Amino acid sequence: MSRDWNELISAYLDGELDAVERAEFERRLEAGEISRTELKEMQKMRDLTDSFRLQSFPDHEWDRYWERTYNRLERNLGWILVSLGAIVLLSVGLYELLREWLLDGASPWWLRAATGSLALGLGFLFVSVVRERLFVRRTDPYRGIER
Amino acid sequence: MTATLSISMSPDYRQGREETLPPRELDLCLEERELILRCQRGESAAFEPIVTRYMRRAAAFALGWVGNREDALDLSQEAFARSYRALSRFDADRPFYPWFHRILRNLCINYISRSRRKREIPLEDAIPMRSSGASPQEYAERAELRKLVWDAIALVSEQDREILILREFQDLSYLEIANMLEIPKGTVMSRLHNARRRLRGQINEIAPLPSDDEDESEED
Repeated sequence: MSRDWNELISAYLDGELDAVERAEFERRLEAGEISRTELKEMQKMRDLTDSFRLQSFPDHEWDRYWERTYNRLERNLGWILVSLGAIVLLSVGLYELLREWLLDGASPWWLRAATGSLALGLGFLFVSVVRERLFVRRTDPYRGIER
Repeated sequence: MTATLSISMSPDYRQGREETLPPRELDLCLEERELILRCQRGESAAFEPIVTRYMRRAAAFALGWVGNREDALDLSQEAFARSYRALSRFDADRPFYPWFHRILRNLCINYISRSRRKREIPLEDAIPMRSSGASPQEYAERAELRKLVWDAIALVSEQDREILILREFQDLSYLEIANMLEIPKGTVMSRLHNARRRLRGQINEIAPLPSDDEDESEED
C-alpha cells in the first residue's frame, strides 16, 4: 500500500521520524512530492500551539488528591448500602401499610381504594424508573469501557 | 536481577512491551500489575500508588477537555473511583492507563454535553511574557490568540481534540500516545496530522492567521 507522505509532515516537524524515514521524507520534499506550502502552514500551526501550555494545578491539590479519591470510593460504597437498606425498609413498610389498610374492614371503602391506587401508582412509577435505568444501561457510553 | 525473573507474567502482557518500553517502564508495569491484583483482592490501599502515579496526567487531560481546574480534578477523581469499582472486571495483564483513559475520556465527553457551565480558557503562555517587556496591546493580542486556539479546539471532533490535547498540551511522544490509545504509531502520525489540519481550518474560519506573505511584507 502506498504511503501518503504528506501525512507525515507533522511527524517530521515533531522529530518523530526515524533516520531512514526522515531521509526519505527529505528526498521526497526536494523532489516536490511533498507540499512545501503544507509544511510551512503546519510549522506555523505547531509554533502557535507550542506557544501555549495548560495551566498548572496548585501543589496542595496533589497532597489531598488521594484522600479525596478515597473518600469518593468510601462514599460510593456508603450510597450502595444506604440504597439497599432504604429499598428493603420501604418495601416492608409499604407492604405492612397496605395489608393494614386494605384488609381492615373498618376503614371506609374509598379510603382503601385511594390507598390501593396510591400503592399501585408508586409500583408503576418504580417499575418505570427501573425500566428506564435498564434502558439507559444498554445505551450507557460507560458500559462498554468498564470491563 | 531483571523484573522478568522476579514476577511471573502471562505472555500476552510481555508481548511487544520489551521492545517498546525501557527497562524502568517495564518494571513499573510489573509493579502496577501487582498493585492491581492486590486491589482486586479488596486492598484499597494498593490503589493509592496507582492514583498518585497518574493523577497529574489525568487531571491535565481533563483540564484540556473541560477547561476548568476544579471540574478537571473532580472528573479525574471520579474516573479513578469508577475504575476502582470496575477493577474486578479488568484484566491485570493489560496496562492500566489506556483502560483508565477511556473511562476518563468518556466522563469528560459526558460532562461537556451536560454541563451548562461556561468553559474557561485553561491555556497560558509557555514562555511567560515579562511584565516589563510587553505592552498592553501585546498582552491583549496574546489573550485573543489563546481564546482563538481554545475556541477552535472546542470545535474539532472529539477524536481530534483528544489527540491534540495529548500531543500539544501534555507533550506526550507519539509512542506514549500510541500506547495510551492502543493504536499503531503510524496511526498517531496520520491522525495527529489530520487533526492539526482541521484545527487550522477551524482557526482560519474564526479568524484567519496572517499568511507568510503578509508576515514578510510587514517585516519589509
